[in-house]
Amino acid sequence: MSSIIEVQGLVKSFGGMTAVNGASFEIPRGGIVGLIGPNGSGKTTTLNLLNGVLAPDSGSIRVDGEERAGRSSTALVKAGVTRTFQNARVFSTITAIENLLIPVLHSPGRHWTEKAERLLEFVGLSSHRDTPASELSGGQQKLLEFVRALMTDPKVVLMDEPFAGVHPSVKEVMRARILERNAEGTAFLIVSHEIPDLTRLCSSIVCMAEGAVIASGDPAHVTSDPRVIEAYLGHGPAGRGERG
Amino acid sequence: MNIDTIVQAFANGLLLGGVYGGLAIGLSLILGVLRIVNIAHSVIIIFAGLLYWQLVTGFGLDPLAMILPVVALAYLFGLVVHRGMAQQLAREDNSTVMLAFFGLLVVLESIAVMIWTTDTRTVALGYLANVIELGPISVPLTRVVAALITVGVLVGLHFFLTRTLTGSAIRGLSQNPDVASMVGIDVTRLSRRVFAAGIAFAAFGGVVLAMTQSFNPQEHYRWLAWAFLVVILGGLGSALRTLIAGLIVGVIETMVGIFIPFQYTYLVLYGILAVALLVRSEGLSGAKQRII
Repeated sequence: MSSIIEVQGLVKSFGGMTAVNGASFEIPRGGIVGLIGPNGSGKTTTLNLLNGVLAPDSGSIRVDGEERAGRSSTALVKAGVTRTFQNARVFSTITAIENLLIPVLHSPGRHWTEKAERLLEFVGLSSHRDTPASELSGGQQKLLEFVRALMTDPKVVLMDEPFAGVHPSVKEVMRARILERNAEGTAFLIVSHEIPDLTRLCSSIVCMAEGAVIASGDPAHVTSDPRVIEAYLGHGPAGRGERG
Repeated sequence: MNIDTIVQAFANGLLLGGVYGGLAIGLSLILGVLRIVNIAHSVIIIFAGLLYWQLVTGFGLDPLAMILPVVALAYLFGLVVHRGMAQQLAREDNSTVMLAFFGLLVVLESIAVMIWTTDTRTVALGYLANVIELGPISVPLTRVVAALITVGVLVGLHFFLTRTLTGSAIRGLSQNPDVASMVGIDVTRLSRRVFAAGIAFAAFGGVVLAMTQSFNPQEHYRWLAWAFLVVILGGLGSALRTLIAGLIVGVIETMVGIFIPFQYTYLVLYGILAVALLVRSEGLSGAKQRII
């Protein structure tokens, strides 16, 4: 099997507004897929559906070949899907290492502490091991959240805007660590508006507009696709005139 | 008024405050972590007190040995209430949850009255029913024992919440249950345990109350007000602050009682609370954010 996640015909509406409208795409095993699209295109809703925050109205989400649509976040973590957020959601009142150990609460063992320490070192936060997360900078919190998502050795990590609002040096650390983990077999789905970063990082890109996938494939191919350009830039003067 | 009277009142206040800390910690835990206003907290205190009375005075069992069985039974009851009620109401608004817990309060109070009537009960504590003389002051042994056990339990809870991984997870759950779920914590299971622990602590409060005071099934509203007073004063910060808030309330109550008639004590206490909240709305914690 070549895909770790297969999404087919995903639909999610809120009242009269359809946020995701029949989206279909795949994340190859060990791949890095970028998910782009203008604001309101349904990217974050898609992430929320993929990690169980929301249940789809219809459609299929297969993780490693098993149907997981509508399953809880906890069940999806167990299935190997973890997540980071646009604004890092660390547990601010507890220390960095405690943040990493919480995901493995239900499977105690001393080796977890060693693993958490290795992960902190992985992103340069060893000296902040016992620092409350609230005292870390925004970028450090993003790195902490990133390695927290790696604690359970996920098959795929969903990342929402990992490069937004962070110092270029943090961005570079994040990019390098994503590539290192990917080389070890972890797949990534990365939502970002920073398309140059994505094209350097991703093996393929999926572009959404108005809840649907309008293009997918090779980054160079997708970013030059007229439908993608139109989705980002809007209709030309003639088009705007037509809509009145 | 001589200094001995003041020292005696202060000692009484500390011992009483220890009991108040025990009365409040269950409420603080459930409210702080799960955001559930457990209106039935006080009836659980009284129910546990009556059960303790039944075991110790009714059946003549050992007063110290009976603490754990009552608390353990309450824990099991908490597991059942969470599964049957609190979990079902997890996504309901606060007023619905409060009404449901008020219903639980009425049911439990009715059962308590059916079993034990409305008579005032006093636990006969046998070998604990002595008085300790310490220089100019004398204190009942039962109050000393109850206060010491409470301090031990609250300090133990403090270390559990701050020094163990499960404690960290509970603090994480308190901060953001949705994220706790997204990082893989079985939030339902952990919430159930926290809820059951809160009920068990309420029962513990009932036991220490029964060890130190006479009580009856219908006066639990008074203890609910007292528990809220301690929780509000201490903030939803920690077990230690709950203990300190309990001690402050106890000492104020007994010290004020020296100078003014007893019936005005509540007025003074709630007046102090109102002023404290105006000046420092987050309670003793001084924190804008809960840490349990």
